[in-house]
Amino acid sequence: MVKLTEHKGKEILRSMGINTPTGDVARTSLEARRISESLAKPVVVKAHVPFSGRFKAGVVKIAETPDEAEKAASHILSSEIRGFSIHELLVEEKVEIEKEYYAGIIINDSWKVRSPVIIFSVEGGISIEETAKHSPEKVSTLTVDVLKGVNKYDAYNLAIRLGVPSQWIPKIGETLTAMYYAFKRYEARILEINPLALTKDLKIAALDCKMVIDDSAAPRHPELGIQFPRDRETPPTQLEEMAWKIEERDYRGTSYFAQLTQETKEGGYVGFHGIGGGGAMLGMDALHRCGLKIANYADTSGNPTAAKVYRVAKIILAQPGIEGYFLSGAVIASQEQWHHAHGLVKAFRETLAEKPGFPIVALIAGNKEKEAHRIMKEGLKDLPVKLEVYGRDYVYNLGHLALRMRSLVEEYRAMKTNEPGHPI
Amino acid sequence: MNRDTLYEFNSRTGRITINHDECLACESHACVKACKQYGSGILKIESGKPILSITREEAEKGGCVECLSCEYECWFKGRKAIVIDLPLTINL
Repeated sequence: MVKLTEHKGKEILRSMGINTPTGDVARTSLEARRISESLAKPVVVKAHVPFSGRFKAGVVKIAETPDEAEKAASHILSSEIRGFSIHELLVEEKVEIEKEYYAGIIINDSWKVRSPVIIFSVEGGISIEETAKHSPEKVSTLTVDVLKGVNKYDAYNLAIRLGVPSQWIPKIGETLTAMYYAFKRYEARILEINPLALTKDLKIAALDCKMVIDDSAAPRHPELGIQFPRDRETPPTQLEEMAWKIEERDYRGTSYFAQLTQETKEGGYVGFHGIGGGGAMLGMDALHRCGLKIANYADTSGNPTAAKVYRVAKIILAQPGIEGYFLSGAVIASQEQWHHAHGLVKAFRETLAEKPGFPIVALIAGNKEKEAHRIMKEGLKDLPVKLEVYGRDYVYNLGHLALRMRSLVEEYRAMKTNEPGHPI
Repeated sequence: MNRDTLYEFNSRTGRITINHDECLACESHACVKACKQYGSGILKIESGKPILSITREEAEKGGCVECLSCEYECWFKGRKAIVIDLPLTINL
């Protein structure tokens, strides 16, 4: 899933006729000042990052004058949120609020529902989960029949049920139907306006916008300019960009790569390669339980070519500081595992010849398992790595593999420490 | 290496180079067997050397499924005559 920026989301809302505060994106405090000057009214300066909780983190400021806007921008640009630097700001006119509502549409993929659900609440500005938990009478929902769509009277009823004053019901109803149109047109998974404000000058305005697009739909919407259709809240790293380009340009099988940390100096990090998400989670849990850390997470599934497996393995190994390679391949039937073996052997032979003792623990289970094990063992027998290959008997005993990984990582680290010239 | 005896073709995302000088002395022809077993069987032996049994264009369009087995088998049962270049950045 891809989260659009607030500015982009609001552009879409405006194109659907939904009112939003006037504003623009700034990258420097001087740009923020100029936007404030051009608006000629008090502004809100926000960190333009895809995180919630910005107000609490102190990266949303109100500025009455351009001077204050510049100062606020300077402060926010030198701040961090969740450990990430802030490079962009959204500077918008400050809106005088009479009442805050919440409006959202999500895909409920529960087997009982499998439809978009529109959620409306008379409590805006706070988490809808909190409202639903503590004041469920303030929330109304509508499960959308995707064949019929949303009629205005359906949307009106959401507001009527919660006792919204009648003069606001048409405007709220129009906003909800316009939101549904945007949601459907851009193949979103989430579209949330929180708060949806009733302003003192008697308008309905979207003061925030969270829009999340289905990543499979991204190629169908080039107008959104999505470069990296992955579910990440942070900008992609260089390795993640490389991995995405591999996936983007080769439709055979699927590959995924996420760099979970760039800081591996403290040691104990391994590269993680899963084949199939469920088994991979077992492997990750097992590694965590025995004190190892995962530097990156990769998955190659859906019967990928050996070439694709090779490229993903090379990217995993390209992350500096990893002290082992853990493969958790518990797929039983959907692909022939010898392709993984051929891809891995080529990647390991090209990368690990100069890393004596580098540990590789591999669970390869499934079709052509025995052949895959033979290829791995034969292909790496003249390489100075420590290789252990396991099969289907260990699918539910990944704890053993994790313990072996830890022992081999410890041996590898000791070996490196004893190398001539190693700074002790 | 004699460039005149290099047999080359593109796969969908890479390039396969076979040094036919080495192939003449190879008795296993393991690459062709591997291609049949793991890949799409697009190699054949002609005058003692492995060549494509389909056109180069067909191989590049996906006829070669990039199973990498020809290179692997040639390392271990042949004469290390095959090199597959798979750049990490795919240009299509």
